[in-house]
Amino acid sequence: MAACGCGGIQPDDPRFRELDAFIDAHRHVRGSLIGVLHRAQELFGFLPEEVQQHVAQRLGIPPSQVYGVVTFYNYFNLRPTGRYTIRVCMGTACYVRGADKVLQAIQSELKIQPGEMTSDGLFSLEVCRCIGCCGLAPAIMVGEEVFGNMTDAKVPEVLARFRQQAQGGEPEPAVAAGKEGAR
Amino acid sequence: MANMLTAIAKGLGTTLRVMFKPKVTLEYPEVKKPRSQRFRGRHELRIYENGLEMCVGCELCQVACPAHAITVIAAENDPNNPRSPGERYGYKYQVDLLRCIFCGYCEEACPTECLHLTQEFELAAFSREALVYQKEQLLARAPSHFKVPENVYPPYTGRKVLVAE
Amino acid sequence: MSQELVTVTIDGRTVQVPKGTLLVEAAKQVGIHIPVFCYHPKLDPAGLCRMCLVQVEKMPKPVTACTTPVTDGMVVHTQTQLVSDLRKGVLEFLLLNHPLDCPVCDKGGECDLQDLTFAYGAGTSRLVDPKEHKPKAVDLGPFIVLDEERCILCRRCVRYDHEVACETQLVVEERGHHNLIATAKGQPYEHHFTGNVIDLCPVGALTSELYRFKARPWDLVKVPAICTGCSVGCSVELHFRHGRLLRVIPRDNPATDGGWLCDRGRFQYQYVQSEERLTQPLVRRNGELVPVSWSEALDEVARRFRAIREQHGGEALGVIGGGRLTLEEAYLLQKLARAALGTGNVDHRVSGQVVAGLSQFPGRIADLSEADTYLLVDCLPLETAPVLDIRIRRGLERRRARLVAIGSVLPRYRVRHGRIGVRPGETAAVLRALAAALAGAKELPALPAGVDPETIRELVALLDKGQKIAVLWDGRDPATGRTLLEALRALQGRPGSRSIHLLIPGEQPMSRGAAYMGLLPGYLPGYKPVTLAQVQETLRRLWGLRQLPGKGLDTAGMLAAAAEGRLKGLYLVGANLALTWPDGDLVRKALAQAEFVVVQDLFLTETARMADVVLPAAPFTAKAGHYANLDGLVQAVAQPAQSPGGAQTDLAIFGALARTLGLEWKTGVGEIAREWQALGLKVAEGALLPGAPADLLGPAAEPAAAGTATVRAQDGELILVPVDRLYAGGGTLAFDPGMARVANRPEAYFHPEDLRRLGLAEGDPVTLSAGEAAVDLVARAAAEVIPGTVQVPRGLPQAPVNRFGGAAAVRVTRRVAEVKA
Repeated sequence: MAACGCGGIQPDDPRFRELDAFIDAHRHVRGSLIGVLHRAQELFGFLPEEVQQHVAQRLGIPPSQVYGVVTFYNYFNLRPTGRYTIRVCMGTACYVRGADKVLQAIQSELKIQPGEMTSDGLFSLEVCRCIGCCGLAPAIMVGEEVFGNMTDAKVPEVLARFRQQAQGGEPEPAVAAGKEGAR
Repeated sequence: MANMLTAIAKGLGTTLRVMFKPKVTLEYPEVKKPRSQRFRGRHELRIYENGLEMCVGCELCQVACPAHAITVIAAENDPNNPRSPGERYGYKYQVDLLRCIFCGYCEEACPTECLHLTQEFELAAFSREALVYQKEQLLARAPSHFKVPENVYPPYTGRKVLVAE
Repeated sequence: MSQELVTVTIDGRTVQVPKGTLLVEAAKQVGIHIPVFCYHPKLDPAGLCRMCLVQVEKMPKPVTACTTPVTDGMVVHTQTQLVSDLRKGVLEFLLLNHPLDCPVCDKGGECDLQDLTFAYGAGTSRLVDPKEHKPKAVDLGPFIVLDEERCILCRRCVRYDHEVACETQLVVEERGHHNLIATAKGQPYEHHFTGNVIDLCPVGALTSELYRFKARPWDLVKVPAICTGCSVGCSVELHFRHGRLLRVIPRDNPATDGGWLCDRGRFQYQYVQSEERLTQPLVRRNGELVPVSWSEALDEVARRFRAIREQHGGEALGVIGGGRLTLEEAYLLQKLARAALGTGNVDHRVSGQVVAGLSQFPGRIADLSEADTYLLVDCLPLETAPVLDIRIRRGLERRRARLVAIGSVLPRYRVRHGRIGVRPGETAAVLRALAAALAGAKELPALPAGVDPETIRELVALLDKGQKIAVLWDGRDPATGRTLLEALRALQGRPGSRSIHLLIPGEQPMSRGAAYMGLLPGYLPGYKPVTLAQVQETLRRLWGLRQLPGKGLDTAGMLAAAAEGRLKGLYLVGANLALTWPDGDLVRKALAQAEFVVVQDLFLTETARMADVVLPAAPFTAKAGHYANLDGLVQAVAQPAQSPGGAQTDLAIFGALARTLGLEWKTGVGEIAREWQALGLKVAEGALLPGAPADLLGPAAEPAAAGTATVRAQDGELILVPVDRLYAGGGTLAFDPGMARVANRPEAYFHPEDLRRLGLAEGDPVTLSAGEAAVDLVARAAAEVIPGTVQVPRGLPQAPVNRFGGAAAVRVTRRVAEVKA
């Protein structure tokens, strides 16, 4: 289902009703499309074809216009995202210190490419420019946490911690890699 | 009498002198007169070092030709069996050597340095048709030293469909 | 825009232009060219490319000439050093990621970017890094190849799609230098006007799939011509290379196309050089059609026609066709029938349309661009005369015009409009009620089921508000035509002033011209009745006849007579009756019963296969003469090209046939023009042919049954409604290799409710049957179909709907998928 970008959302999904209430309140406001899409992403987590189609129909604008806006803003996701989004920094500092190797390790560990989501819906992988921790290069972000001084060897440890956390287990104390987050 | 003898001696002297000078007669066709570097003879279509044709069928030679001797018809490359780098190749290429005035404008117009005029000048045949050279006759026999330029004609992978992100 | 004039000075030249004129247009008037990419006179200004920056005195920064309206006293400089630097800079940016593949680009040689770079650009680029790479050779739609790398993001195509075609399929996706031209969700870019983006694109990003790599612009021999695809008669330019037609582009004619072509007009040209075109006459020998020489074929035709005439009289011969001919050819065909064959049985109508232009309420195509109210009666302009629909759509979206559609087929528009859907044959009843309401009747006549009298009153109120009312009718049902005229007369008689314009898209491109030229039973050229003694006298003298044949049979009458064996010889010119006539069985019976059938056509059509002699005709590219379009406008065309092979133009064939029949006719274009003059017919470039008299619609006194549904559906049955589809048909469409990709599939369109009720899903194979007739189709859901009816395209060679003989009650059954052996 994910392959077609539709995410398998049924037309009778109760979330549509919630979205409709929001649309009806803002229908007569010019330029309400972005607000509606924000709400839709809050509800669905991403903006699949059906949701875009629904928004277009409900607002009475062409689907192509909705599509144009969705692709324009980075904030809007066209694919479902996992519970934890892994962002690998490919900024200059991280890159020269081997971020590509880290990325490759994550890719082979999770068997996904940047922009994709694991089949269990736990992780999605993205590549970003600087996350502001050049001193800790190479750095990655998992969810809201930053991990610095990464190496390909540390990748399985970090991922295992989040897998465990997802299963409801207590998060282990910060692994050796350090949770020297920029918080 | 003495005058006559001097004249004979003089004549024989010339003969003797020329006998030891280098020969100017060439044994054509076994031996050919050297031509200048920029001699303009028969056309040839170069081939890249990897074997692809350099001609992209742009027809600029055709439009440059003051004698209307060149006809080019282009076609789309088969992505599985490309004839040239990029999307387009010269499907048909013919030069009417009877019309050609060997001015070299076509060579100058060629954007890929494919078409050039060779040193070959022996262009005689028994029929007019035989002097309208087709692409097979014009294509070079061996690859040249030219490399496919980077970033100009990316390898053609065939038509794509529009896919949403 | 007011008519107030303002004075501007551009580069020292002073010009007075109406207030609100854009700077770039004002500059054009004084002969100053301001370079542009995104600006197009027919699109709204956008100011995207920045190429048109100029300096205006007292303005702190350079301004874009394409978005700045002129003001009084404005002083503009377009030739300063700053402007020149700006242009150089803009071009350098545009070329940053533009590939250097001009030698392989189809636009090379007619590319704005190439030309303007040559004129204003820097010699070299300062960019040393690799260029951004984007998808190349993307199939955007059936006819369009997109190269994203070459795109300079002027958005002309996207704006055209929104503003002119009113389709909103194209969009710019992503942002920054990742910008791409795309359609929502990557669906194919498909509607009836996609080809225009190729002309609009200032670079080689959008190119034609059919013209791809076929030629470079300087190779092409460009000949002006008239499109003969439908009755609009758009002005086109044909581009030939080595005698082959490679491209068709519009020549902006405000009276017809307005600069836009439909995809059929633009891309249906390969049939001209199709391998399947007939190049030799065929004669049936021992049951087989065998190729023979022209003289042999013409001798055979002349001998057989003469024999039938001698034995049974001229009434035993009939001539059908001519709706695809030039005016000269149509005139000569009716002369051939009346003077050489001695028959009054002539008719150009081959598909059930009765009139293609009436003399009452004359309308012009340009009126559609000014109308504030549209009334569509049983008419789908998008499918029969597509370019008209561009004007209607723009009227609806831009001028807030109102539209009401009445009929058994309803069009689809994006904006709100009135729809009165009825069963086939009931349209007249709605119009009669409308006429009564417009005439002020308190009590309305009976209305078809599902139509509320209140709707009619609303329609009256709506029509009352209209100042300029455009009416489109399909010209098929005479009863509808009579009541429509009645309603329009009642509307004209109401207080207040308004203008009413009636347009009837012709079933064939030249229907209106053929009718005017006398290819109608009972009417001589110029719509003069055959009974008129004065005209008879003129024609007898002109044609050297003793007796002019009287009023003959129309197409239906001829077919019926042939089926009964009364009509022995038929001459069908450019008429594929087996596919287009509403009653296919009658045609097959008539062609089988007739002793001798001659078909003159480009291809071996369904009808030609049943003929005794087939004469190969040349396509429009080989013809010179005059064409008349649906509003009667006459346009002259010089012969664009020679026709390869042994096919002859229809004019030459008629002339040769007359000579073979022993007549000393001069049949040149000039001689025919002299005959027209003698008859008092004004046919010249730009002239307007009058419409047909309303008598063609039959007697005014109508039986009470008219206006009621022609068929009633039993339980579980649906009413079949044949509809026009742009890409459905035999002949030139079926034999055009470029059209196969869009040709209408054999599909039946159901209302979604009906589809559900029948337990069918989209894509299910279904069989429609009524009595012995059955047609296999694929089910499709379409919201515009009227519940209780099923629409099937007319003229599909694989599924000829005329097996049912027009509207019929059909039973729908799901076809069991064939078991693979």
